[in-house]
Amino acid sequence: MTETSATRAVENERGWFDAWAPMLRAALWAGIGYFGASWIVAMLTGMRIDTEWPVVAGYCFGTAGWIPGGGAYEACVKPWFGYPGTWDEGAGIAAYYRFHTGHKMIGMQYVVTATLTFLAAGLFAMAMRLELATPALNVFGDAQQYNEAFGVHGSLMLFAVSVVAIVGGFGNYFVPILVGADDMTFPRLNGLSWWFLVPGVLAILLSPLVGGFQTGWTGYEPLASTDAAGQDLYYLGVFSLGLSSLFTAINIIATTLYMRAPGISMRKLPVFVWAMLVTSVLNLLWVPVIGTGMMFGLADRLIGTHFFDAQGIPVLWQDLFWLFGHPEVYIIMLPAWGLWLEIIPVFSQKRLFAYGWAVAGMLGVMFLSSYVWTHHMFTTTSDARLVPFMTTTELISIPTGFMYIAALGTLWQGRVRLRTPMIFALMSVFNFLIGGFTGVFLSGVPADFQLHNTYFVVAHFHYTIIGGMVFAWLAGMYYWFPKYSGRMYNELIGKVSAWWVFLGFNLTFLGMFVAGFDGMNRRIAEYLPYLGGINMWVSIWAFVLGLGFAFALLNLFFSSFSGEKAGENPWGGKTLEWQTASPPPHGNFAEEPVVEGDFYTYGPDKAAGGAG
Amino acid sequence: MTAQSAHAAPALSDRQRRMYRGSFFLFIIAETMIFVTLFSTRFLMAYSGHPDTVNQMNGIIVTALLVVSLWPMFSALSRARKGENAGNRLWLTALLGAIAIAFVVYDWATLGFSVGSRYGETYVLSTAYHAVHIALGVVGLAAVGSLARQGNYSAENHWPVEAGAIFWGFVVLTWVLLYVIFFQM
Repeated sequence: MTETSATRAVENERGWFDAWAPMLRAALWAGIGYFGASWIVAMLTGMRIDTEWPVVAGYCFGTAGWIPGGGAYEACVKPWFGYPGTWDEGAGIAAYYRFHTGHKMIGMQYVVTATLTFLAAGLFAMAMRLELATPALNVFGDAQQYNEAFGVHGSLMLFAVSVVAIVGGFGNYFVPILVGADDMTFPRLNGLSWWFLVPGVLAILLSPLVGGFQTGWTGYEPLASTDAAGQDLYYLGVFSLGLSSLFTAINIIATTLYMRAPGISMRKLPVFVWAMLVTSVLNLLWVPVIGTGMMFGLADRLIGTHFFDAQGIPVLWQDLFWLFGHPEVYIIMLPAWGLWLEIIPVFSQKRLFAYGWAVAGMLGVMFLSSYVWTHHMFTTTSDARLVPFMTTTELISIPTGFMYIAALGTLWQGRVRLRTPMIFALMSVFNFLIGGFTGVFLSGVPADFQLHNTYFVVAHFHYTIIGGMVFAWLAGMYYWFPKYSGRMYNELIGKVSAWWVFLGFNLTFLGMFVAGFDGMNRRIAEYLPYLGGINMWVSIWAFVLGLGFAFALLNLFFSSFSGEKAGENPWGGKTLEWQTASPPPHGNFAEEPVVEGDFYTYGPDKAAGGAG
Repeated sequence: MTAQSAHAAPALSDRQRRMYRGSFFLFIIAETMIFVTLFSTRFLMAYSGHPDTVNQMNGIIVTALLVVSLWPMFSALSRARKGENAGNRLWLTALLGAIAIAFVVYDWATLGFSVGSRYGETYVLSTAYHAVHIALGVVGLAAVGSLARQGNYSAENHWPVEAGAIFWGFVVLTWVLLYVIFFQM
């Protein structure tokens, strides 16, 4: 597979097949691995091919074929054993469809995968709202199919979109640039991380083909131990996604600690990098715990252990799950806060207010977030744990409040430019306030006993995750669009889509709060007719919201081909990514940058290039 | 083996050495969380105490093999620091690890208690997780050993040997903890 640059130029002219060749080889090896292993195991055990052992063997060998097939064999495995690494990383568009070690390519691979997963999981949500528009069961064949649908929707949105889009996408793309490095610390490990993401997504997305899983994204026991083979794919898929997060976490921490350009001390680090660092510490500590829990669950189903079924401790699963699951909520939100505080100073043209407090708040959230998990289990845990975890949960709103101090203090008397990224960021600030306040209600044990398992909870966490994280993600997509695509998006369509999404989102999920108060339970396909009106309202606005997301993302898609060329620094930003070409060249900077001032000094006395 | 691999890796700067050590320590933190979960689950599920049918002799043999394997490992590291060939000692370490895996597998095949019992399930999962780590160490040390034999490392750059030593030290330490927790408590 050795190719010189001359043959590479010829190859580029040979068109799409050569561009896709590594991906096709990966798919072929994965298919051979999956079907070969599951067929052999099915033959040996006499089981059907869609039952547990064949599915587990198939998934393991399919993944073992997929990752080297994309180029990791030539790029990683051979060098490890002393052979020369002969992988050609391709050029142009072909570089995206193969194993690649450049952090910008990997970032875009993550962004595109997360976007496609977001749209696929969104379609499941649309199907669910279509079902819930009327009280009777008339879209899905039976209630089990509905359970599978919300299981796929929730698992993908949580494990493959909200913890991946900003951390894997923008984290990979922008953390090295923001600290003035030429790449991540471990480029090959970084390249591998994306290849673990895809099997994880596919396992969850395709789990209905082998019977799906009925438990939703939380995988509660003992239901999980009696479920169809889709539950095995849930365990294995989440495990793969966890490995992907873990590799990214190691890289981000190492890059931030060891690869900073001269002049960037920890006290000058951009807030987004601080947020990514803190997020990665949480990933590093808690992903191994859930991974081990997933293996316990898998062992229960495969080798006859009894960790979580009626002979074991079903609530232990909930502890292990939420020990990761609650820090995960902050793994989702911390990068979003980083984006708020990165975008708001640029568009207020004003110094970031209370930088030190914002960083202290992030660290405070990091510490406290590991001591709040039992608030998901108030109805199942012992009474002795109620008050301590209610207290820690209410305490965590204090460091969270520091983000609001920083955001609002920066806006105060700023010269605000309401461009699309700023609008999305401010909407995220507004939405997360509602999400956070309703969280304070739910952290109170008496209120939680009333509201647990109702649509009030569903509305609350959608306000934090869509309202907080997805809006911030879209803000980041629009804010950095000129940088990673080199072009400018359509401002009018951007603004229209922002207000469209905002309106659809708030009308959908405010309606869900009402439905929850009225007694609408979550995870049911049929409900009493008196809830029909509010559910119809929610469904209609949910469709409007779904179209709005498609509209906002399509704007970026078409603009990446037809937008006007953007300069190096269209927003007048001071952080390092704006001091290099759009998109940045290989190695990011022409020469290693040396930073003298700090990144958040705006104002008339210090002219910012391109501001206005 | 191809000819190119005979080149020694370029020397590491102090900054790079610090970076590799620090980052590898991050990896060890993540690994530690796995064993924290496994060991605390053992006490949650089965409290302390173990069945009389636990194969004590097997536990002692695996412990002895792994502890003894520390000697070729650190001997290899000190040779690599002086720029001498460490390949054979790395391979000896890997061999001792492979024998240890064989004893663990033998133990699973002749288990004296049920996999479904409260002690049994945590025992099997913990030893399986640990065996995977021994196996990773064996493959890694064998690969590093073959590179060392080809003269890839120098006194200025032997990071893979050092990484192997840190990882192998971690593997042996967790086995000793595992031995105490599952065989002696």
